[in-house]
Amino acid sequence: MKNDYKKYTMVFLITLGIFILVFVLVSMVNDRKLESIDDLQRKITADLIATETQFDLLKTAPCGTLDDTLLSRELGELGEKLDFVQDSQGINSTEFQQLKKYYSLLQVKDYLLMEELSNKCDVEIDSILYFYSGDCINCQKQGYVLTELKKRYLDIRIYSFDTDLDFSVIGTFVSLYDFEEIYPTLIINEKVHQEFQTLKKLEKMFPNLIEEREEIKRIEQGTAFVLFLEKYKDVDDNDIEFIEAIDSVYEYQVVADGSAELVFLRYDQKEEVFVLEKE
Amino acid sequence: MEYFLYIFLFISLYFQVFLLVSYFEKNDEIKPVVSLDPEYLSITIIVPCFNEEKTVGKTIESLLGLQYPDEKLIIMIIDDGSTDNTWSEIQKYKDRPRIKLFQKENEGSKFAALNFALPLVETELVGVLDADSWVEPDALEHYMEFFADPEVMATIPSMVIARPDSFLRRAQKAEYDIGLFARRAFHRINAIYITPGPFSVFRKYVFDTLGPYQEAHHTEDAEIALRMQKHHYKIAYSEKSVVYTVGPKTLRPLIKQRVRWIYGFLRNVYDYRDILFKKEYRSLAMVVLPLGIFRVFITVILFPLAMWLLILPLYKWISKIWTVGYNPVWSWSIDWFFVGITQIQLIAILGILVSIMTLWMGRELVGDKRKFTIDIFYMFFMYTFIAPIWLIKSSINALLSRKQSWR
Repeated sequence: MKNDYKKYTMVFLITLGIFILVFVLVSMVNDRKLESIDDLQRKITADLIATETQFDLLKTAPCGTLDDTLLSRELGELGEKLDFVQDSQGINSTEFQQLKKYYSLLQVKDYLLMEELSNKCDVEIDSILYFYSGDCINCQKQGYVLTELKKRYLDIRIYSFDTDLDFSVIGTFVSLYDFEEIYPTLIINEKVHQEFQTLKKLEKMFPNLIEEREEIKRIEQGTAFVLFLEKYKDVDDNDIEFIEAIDSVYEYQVVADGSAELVFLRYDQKEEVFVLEKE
Repeated sequence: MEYFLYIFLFISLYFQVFLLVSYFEKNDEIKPVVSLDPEYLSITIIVPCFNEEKTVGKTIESLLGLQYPDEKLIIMIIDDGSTDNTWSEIQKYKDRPRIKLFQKENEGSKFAALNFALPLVETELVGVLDADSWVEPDALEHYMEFFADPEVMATIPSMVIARPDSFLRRAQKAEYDIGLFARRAFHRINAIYITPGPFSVFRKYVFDTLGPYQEAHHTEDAEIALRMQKHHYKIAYSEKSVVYTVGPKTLRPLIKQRVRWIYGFLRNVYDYRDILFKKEYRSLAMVVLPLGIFRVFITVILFPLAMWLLILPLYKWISKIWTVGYNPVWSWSIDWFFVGITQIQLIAILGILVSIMTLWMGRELVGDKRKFTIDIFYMFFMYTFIAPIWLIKSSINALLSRKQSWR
């Protein structure tokens, strides 16, 4: 009989041991994830400060940095990672909340910096401010749409703010645009949209982005056309370089047999095909 | 709510570990005696049949094929008021010296057919074999290793699903194989709480002293075992004795069967509740029966939650595709950041691995060489999606003490 209780206790300890092991293992993995988020955040902070400092030093905007979309990409990655940790791993510790607040702060900083750069360098920057909350029905869907939009148009800057976070900066932002607390709320070109926006609607709001993407596609199409020419059948992808497009004439440089040649193609808008202009 | 899930997982895992430890334990009270010249006790095997014209022939043939001294073996076939050709089917055997045929009116439950036969038994042992089961030739012989101990009052066999030919039967095959593992674990700690219809053999002394079978909510095989346990009668498990049985082929009869089993289990344990947590009954009363009941009820409570956890990610995925279309980005470089596992998932995976391991151990017991087969997945499917139906139904019935119909 005594042995029985010994056994029950032993089995209990084994089971408890397995449970503890599982919990320790998972929390170790999750800690590592939070750490890597922290690292990424530090890196972004450094980059942001670098841009700001450059700004201050030159007294004018360093317009060259505008081309560098790396920062926004990293911010996007950071957001994705935070979302994953919260949704799939169910983490919502104070440490995590802190990271998320910091992320919001970085986004605001990046936004302000970009606003200033665009004013001074006279460049249009496509950005979306997105406010959401946990209990809103369409926010999940809106999130999917924005993720997809970002995937299609890398240059677009999407700043997302979780209004459930008890964070004054977000509150200030909300009062700045003075909108009612209905979510999802999107601010695009200073205009407040307080309903779910489909992918198509959003794409329409950024016509130049679509145009740009079309252009990239067209340039690729032109490259394919050149490759297809009898004369360049031994040439591969890397030997063709797009130079420029004036009106509907696309200029390519082709390296064949060690010498560079220029090829001009005309794009036929109606038929949506290329024709050889001159070699 | 999540904490309930953890508690449930903890108890399930506790039970699995408990069985694993028990499996390797030594049973000091019951030890098989293997001898070259075993003593063959005289035995009467009762075969109750109700509308079993298709299988009863095979059942009788297998009994006739038993390696056992002719003069020690009597086979009693009881036609329990069948409305099909069972009676004419068993007439083929009426001239065999070892076989006695009886016909009685059906009284609605199997226990009546068994009790009809019991007073006619004059042998030392009484066996029961359902008419949809058949035995291996050496099954009875191996029983003698246990009955050599005069204190062993009953012995049960290794039950294997015969020729699984449908999804549900394959699932049951895997389930029964895990059952073999559990049966041996229960045997090792003297906690067998069922003497199933397919080939349980008792000493006649059991019925002489404890009385005949009872109605027992249509699970007379659970009641008699609990009654024996209550009186400290020893029940052994002879793993080398293999008996084949057929499981329900389709959903409806399967659910009906399981509702009857679980309802019967719950009600019988309730009827014998005075043995629960009594020290003298050791692990049976302290762990096996209480956890058995607990697992039934907790599954009922937690099934909706588990479903929710399963369906939620699926719902998210579908709604994503619905809003932005399906356009995955294929890439060989995995960002390990996005590979994660939660505590519940990890524990569930552990539980599944232990289940598969115990299934293999069960198959090892009966010498089944094919260890990893598709039926394992069928079983998990059955236990995830179908078992809750019978668990919920039988618990509700048990709580409302609603009467079950037999078959």
